[in-house]
Amino acid sequence: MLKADRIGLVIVLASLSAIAAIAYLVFDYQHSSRLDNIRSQGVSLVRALSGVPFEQLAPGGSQHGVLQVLQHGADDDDFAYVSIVDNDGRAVSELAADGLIVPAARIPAEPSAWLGETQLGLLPKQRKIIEFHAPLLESGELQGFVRLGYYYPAFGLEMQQLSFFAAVALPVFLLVPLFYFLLRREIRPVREASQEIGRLMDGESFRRLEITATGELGDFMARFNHFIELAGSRIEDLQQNQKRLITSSKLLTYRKNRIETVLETLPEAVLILDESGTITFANQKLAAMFGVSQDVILEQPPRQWCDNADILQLLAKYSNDGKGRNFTDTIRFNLETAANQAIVTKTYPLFSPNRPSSAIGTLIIFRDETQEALARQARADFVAHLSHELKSPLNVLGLYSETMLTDAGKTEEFRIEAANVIADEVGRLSTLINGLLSMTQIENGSLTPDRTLVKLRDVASAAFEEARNSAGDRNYRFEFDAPRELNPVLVDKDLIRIAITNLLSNAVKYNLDGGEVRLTIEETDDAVQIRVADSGIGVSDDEAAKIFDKFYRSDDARVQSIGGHGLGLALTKQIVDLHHGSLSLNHDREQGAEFIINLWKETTAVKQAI
Amino acid sequence: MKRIMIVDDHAPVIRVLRLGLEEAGYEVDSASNGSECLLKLCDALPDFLVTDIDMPRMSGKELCMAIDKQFPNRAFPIIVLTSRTELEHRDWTRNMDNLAFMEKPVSVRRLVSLIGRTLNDVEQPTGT
Repeated sequence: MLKADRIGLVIVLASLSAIAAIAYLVFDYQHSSRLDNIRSQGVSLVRALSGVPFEQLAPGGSQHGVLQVLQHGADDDDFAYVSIVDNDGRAVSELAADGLIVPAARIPAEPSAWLGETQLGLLPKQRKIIEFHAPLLESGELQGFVRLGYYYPAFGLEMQQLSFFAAVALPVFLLVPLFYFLLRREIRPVREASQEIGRLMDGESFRRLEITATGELGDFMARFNHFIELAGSRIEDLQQNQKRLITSSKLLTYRKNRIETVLETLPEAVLILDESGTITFANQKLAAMFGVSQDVILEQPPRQWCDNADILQLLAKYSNDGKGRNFTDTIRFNLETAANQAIVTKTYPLFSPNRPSSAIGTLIIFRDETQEALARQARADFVAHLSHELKSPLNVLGLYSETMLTDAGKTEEFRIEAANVIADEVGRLSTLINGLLSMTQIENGSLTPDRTLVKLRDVASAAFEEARNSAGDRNYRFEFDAPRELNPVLVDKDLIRIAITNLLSNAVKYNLDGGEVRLTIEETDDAVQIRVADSGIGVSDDEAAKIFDKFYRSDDARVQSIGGHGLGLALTKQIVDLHHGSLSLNHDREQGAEFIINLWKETTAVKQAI
Repeated sequence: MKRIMIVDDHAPVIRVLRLGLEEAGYEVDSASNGSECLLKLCDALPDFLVTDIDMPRMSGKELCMAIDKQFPNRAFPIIVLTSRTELEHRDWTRNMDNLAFMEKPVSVRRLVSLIGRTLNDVEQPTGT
């Protein structure tokens, strides 16, 4: 709208300028034609007067002669003055318009300039005058000059011309706005279409423009609407396609994520090769197995992240022509990065769901079977240990029973010795078998502790006395320190007794002459601690790391020289674990070792029970 | 009289084997572990050596390897008493000649018979 108004203003200004220009040209024409008129009149009159005898022009006295006549004839607004001057320029006779003082004569000296015209700039604010002058001659003698002055025609509008100009300007002035409004009415549909398009663009929708127009504009609007409809339907198609694409892209992304999540969740390390043998997927576990990032596996050639010749050979088999990929393969190897790590790879060809006959890639699964291998080894070790532990006493029993049948074995002395040895070996076997049974029961969960409120001091005291007796006549100092007011503890009495007995048995077995065996029980707010300390051969750091392992026996000769199955501490640890307690070893002592059983009290239950 | 060296950390075993072998007419010497045995070998070599494996200080395996090193041309046969039947537990004897295993539980009669046969193969026993 503002724009339209500005155009209107420009049109009005242009029309005014046109009127002004026309007026100027008319005035200019009028002015120059009047000046020409004055010139021809003045020249002809001054020539005529120069031919009149001087006496007639200046008769003297109060007579004006010819000038008088001229004044009457010269009834013209432009007439200024007529003056007859003598040779010296003095006025002899003159006649002037009302209120005008005839300016002093400026007579040219050169005869050639005697006849001519001069413009006289009079005083400011006075009209300019144009003077025609001619010499007055008589018989060839210069008598004087005749000067004829006219006002310079004025440049401007005169009252009588006003109506003419009004008549010319008015239609121009009226027609211009009329044209303007007509024009505006003609272009209104275009303007409306423009606004409509603007609204459509704001609303981002495509529809027909409801604008009525006729003629060429009407045709244009019809074509334009057709174009809009075509473009609209095309865009709608595109939008539909885009929606379909977005949906299918989301579905693909979801499927891809789902598959990758499954592959990442698998407990095994996974590698997927395409049909050319290029690695297209590697899960986090594979990256961790080789100690690199997933990107490195995807982007770098295999030898950059893998040192193992077996794996490189395996991957090479699937690259290039990939002829070797149509079979399932199993390879066992150890990674150099982790010693004793047993990795088993299985490869499976991936077949296209649409064409089951053609493989589209290979799936390689890296399974870390280290734990299984260790478990297998542990099982084998266990059986070997067990057979050894069982066969040693059986060996002695066999030898004695066999010898008793021979002559050498029939002596009284040998019979007594055999009875003692057999009793010892049976005791050893019995301890071994009991320990194994308890341990097996605890390990497979068939042994549930029968927890009752137990006076720990009584149990410990009984075990302590048993240990003191087993020491026989060995020169050991036994010390028992447990407060009498010890609160009962909720434990399995028999199992705890086995645990304490085992610790005390070791303290006696691995002690030194004149040594000390000490059992201490301490109670705090939330736990009871049973400490079994000795001043024996002690435990080294290496031994401490394995001392609770099943069948572990130190290589130390002093330990080897003492009988044992390597089950006592393992069983004790299992019993304490079963009670959710802890078994620790304090071996940083100058002499001997101290084992500490820590049992948590179920304080509230105990106090309520009491 | 042929001299037999018995190495075992278990005194009752030595006692019974000594009885059986002496009855069979052998002279018997004994050691309670490998290192003790090696010391005795420096004094005199036996005609036969019977050793256990699991022993403190020096095991039967270590003893055999030490003997192999110290007496590369030894003439006396060795019998190793073992409770381990797996082949991998016998791998270490691959390069040793004149060495046999006897599984536990050991029979004195069988041991005496094996020693007798082995010594017969080498030369006629001078004993009964």
